[in-house]
Amino acid sequence: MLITLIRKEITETVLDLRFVVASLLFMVLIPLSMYVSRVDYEQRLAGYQQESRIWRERHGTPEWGGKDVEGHGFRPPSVLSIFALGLDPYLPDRVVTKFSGVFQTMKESNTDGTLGALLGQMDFHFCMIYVVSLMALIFTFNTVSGERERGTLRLLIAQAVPRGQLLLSKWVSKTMVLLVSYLCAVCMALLVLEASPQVTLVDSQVAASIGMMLAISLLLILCMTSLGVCLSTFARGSLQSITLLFSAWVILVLGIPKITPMMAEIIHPCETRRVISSRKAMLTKDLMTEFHNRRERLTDSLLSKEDNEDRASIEMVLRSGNVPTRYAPQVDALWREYRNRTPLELEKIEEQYRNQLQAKHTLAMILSRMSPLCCYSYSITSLAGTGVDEPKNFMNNAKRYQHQISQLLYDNIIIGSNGYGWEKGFDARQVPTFPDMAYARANAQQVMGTRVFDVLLLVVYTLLFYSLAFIRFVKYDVR
Amino acid sequence: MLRVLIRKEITETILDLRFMATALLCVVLIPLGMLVNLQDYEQRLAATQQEHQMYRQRYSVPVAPAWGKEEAQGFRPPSVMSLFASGLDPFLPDRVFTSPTGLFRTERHPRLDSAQTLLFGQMDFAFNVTFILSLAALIVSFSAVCGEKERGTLRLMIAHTVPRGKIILAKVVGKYVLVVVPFLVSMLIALLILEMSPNVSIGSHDVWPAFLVILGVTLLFILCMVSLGLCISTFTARAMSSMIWLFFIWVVLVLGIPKVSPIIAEILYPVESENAFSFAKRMAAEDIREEFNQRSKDIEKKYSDQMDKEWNPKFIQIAKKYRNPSSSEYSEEDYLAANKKLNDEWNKANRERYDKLHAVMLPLAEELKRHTAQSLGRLEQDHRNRRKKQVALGLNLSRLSPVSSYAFILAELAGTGVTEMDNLSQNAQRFQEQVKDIYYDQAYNQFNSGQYRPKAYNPFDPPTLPDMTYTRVSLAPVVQTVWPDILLLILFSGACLTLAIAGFNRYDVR
Repeated sequence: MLITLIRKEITETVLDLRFVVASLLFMVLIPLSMYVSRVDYEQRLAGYQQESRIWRERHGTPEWGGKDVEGHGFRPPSVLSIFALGLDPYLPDRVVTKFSGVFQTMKESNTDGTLGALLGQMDFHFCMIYVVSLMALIFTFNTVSGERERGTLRLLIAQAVPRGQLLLSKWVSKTMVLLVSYLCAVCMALLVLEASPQVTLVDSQVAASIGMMLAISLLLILCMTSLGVCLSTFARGSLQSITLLFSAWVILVLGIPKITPMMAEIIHPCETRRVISSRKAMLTKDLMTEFHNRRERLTDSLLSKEDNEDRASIEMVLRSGNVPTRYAPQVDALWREYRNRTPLELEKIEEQYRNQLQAKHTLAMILSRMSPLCCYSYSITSLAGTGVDEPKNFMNNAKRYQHQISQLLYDNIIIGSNGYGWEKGFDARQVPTFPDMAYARANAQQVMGTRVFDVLLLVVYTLLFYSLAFIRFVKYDVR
Repeated sequence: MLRVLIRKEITETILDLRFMATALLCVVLIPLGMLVNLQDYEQRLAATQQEHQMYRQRYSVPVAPAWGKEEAQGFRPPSVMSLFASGLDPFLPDRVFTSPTGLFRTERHPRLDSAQTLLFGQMDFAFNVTFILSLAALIVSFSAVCGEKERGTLRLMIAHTVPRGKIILAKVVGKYVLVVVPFLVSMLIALLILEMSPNVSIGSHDVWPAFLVILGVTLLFILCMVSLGLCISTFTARAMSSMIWLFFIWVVLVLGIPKVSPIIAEILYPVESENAFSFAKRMAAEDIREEFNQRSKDIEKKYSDQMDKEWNPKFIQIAKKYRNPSSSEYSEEDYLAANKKLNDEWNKANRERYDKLHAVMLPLAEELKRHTAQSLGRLEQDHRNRRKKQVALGLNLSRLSPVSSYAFILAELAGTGVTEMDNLSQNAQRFQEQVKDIYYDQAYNQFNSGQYRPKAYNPFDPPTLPDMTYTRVSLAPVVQTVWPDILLLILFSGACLTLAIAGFNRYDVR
């Protein structure tokens, strides 16, 4: 019986205008957006390669190991950002290491995509959130109410079929039809992607992530269709259902995702990163001044212990701005102390700021998860390496790079005894070539580890909507 | 008769659930969006001010000695009108660094602290109108004709002696009024929210004229959408199919055309990316500098070679003459005295040589400055022209959809549109000139060896760096740039209305 019902529903849906429109939209928009994002990615990749190559050629091996030498690390674009651009346009694309330990992150003020920025980019993620979710709702919004309007529901109920089976067959068939046209479009999109020389899908890491993304996308479609069925049981007629659909879609897709993060910002206001970085720059400057003062005091106290004979000659050396050789060990030790202290102090500021941010971040996450679309966005963009965790990851990579360059160069510089000098055994004219920044990203398993909650929540939403639909349908007045 | 019809339409729509839903969404979302954006604007303003103050305290007077190579920073304050349309604001650079080479650079500090906001986008007024209000207008009007036909009431109405044109006109007016009224109510609430903020005053000259234009354009846009909805409803026989076409057209107009056309423009008319271009610029500057360095080195070498050629034999001659081991005619003192005399002469000649060298180098340095400015200016101009062509192509393509026309108008009025880019670089250029007068013209670098300064300039008492005064484009030129878009909106609604009337006149009411 269930199979007959499903067959009936499928024939009905396929013959409907909605199926044609949805298939048309999917077939055009999804491959097109994939093509567009692919071209965009190829451009970003070419830009990255060119910049890092030219930097390596021109400045990769410093001629002189002074304290003004900077290492530049470049962030490669993630392949999967083709699927979800996410935060990519906002992430800095360059790290500049500094002697002071406060590395600088830079973003070329990106004015190429003027129009693109103004009107928004269209990628797979965008298509899913806006087009596919809307289509899923449109497919299902009048499953129950429409049939009641036409009067066929009465006839169906008159047969000896449990209402649960009736509802299940409706949901399953609508979803199946939608999925077929969706999967066709996705296959076309993957072909478009495969045609690129820069992208290989057979790579196991990429393939795993793409597979995961598709699975989560299917889950979202299930969630949306069950929401649609649920809405249809709350209305008596098609027009009423449309209004419900419209309100639900606006609230879930446009309202909650955009408003809740800003609400969190209002509840937990934070200083901006800019203020923090200028504070950090000030701190390092202050520490330097403090160091110079202490160095002066140290040499003064050492000088007072000298006999009168030595004092005159040492004072002469001191007046010329240098430190006599016999004080060098103490003064250098003082410098080493400061060199070790600076990162700790900086870390303290950073830690404080992180805690502040964390509260806001958590609140925004919790509030925004009221909408299943947000859960979906979080998991997809995290898989694509452009999600809400990526800024943190970028900072970690930058820190690692700064550390690397510090070990190569900055740790060998001493501002102790004579202006500035180098540790023993370090040849300032033979600085080793700076390495490229190795940018580490979390792989698919790690991402799923952090995003499992969101995926589960999607499942919970699906079940919730479906069971609500079931309860409503059981007591639905079919007349 | 028309009035009766309109009254009937209005009562009918008011009693409908759709009206309740749209009114509720409008009244909740538009003021809420405004509130949230206001907070965001205030935070941005405070951050800019705080940063500016820190900068002024620490760096506005350069540490002496200032050698005329100082970097000044200018801050771009957020625009008040960006409350209505954030447009390009999240992408525009917020800081300008001047540079002695004449190439200012701009920087944008990534605001990554609020990752979620960036991920989901902001909900500003422009977004609310283009997404929610447009959909609401379509939903209110999509079943105006076909819905009534389905219910059978259309037949009864046609049976009366009412011209069909009047019926459709009454429908347009009735639906339009019922979308506009909740919108105006929500605008009123939004304005109250704005007025409560100490940082924004609606009465100020920056705000109210632009606000009135925005309001007018929004009303026009709503008319576009309502007439589009009616147009759809006259071309379909059933409410269901009308609804599906509505969503299809909405997706194409709101999501499809605006987002795809910039990319199509990029594919049709590729321009190298900004990153690559600034790199090319930097490299060109480096190459020119390298070339001049080489030239200056050659000149210096020529002069010093000349000196060596002239003077070395003399020194050797003296040494030979006074220190001849075979004869003891001269003592060591004689040699030293002769050497000192020669040395003095050499010093004099060397000073002369320096003066001559300076006379050659000065024009060379001037030439370097000029040459750099010229060739970089040319590169820049070329690139900007290509970019402009691409943007224009994208703009024209996207104007197929009234939604993008509306988005452009709003962004331009809010000072966050495409022309703001040029305005920013003009402001930065002005700032660069200002700093140039104070600092960079006070010194020129003589390539590898030191620099020269005019006597009047005292590096130990450096003047304060100026603040960048950021001027915005005033309303009149903005309206001049956006009038084609306004015209397009009028045309679009006119076309839709005509189509609706034409369609309704031959509509089968059975």
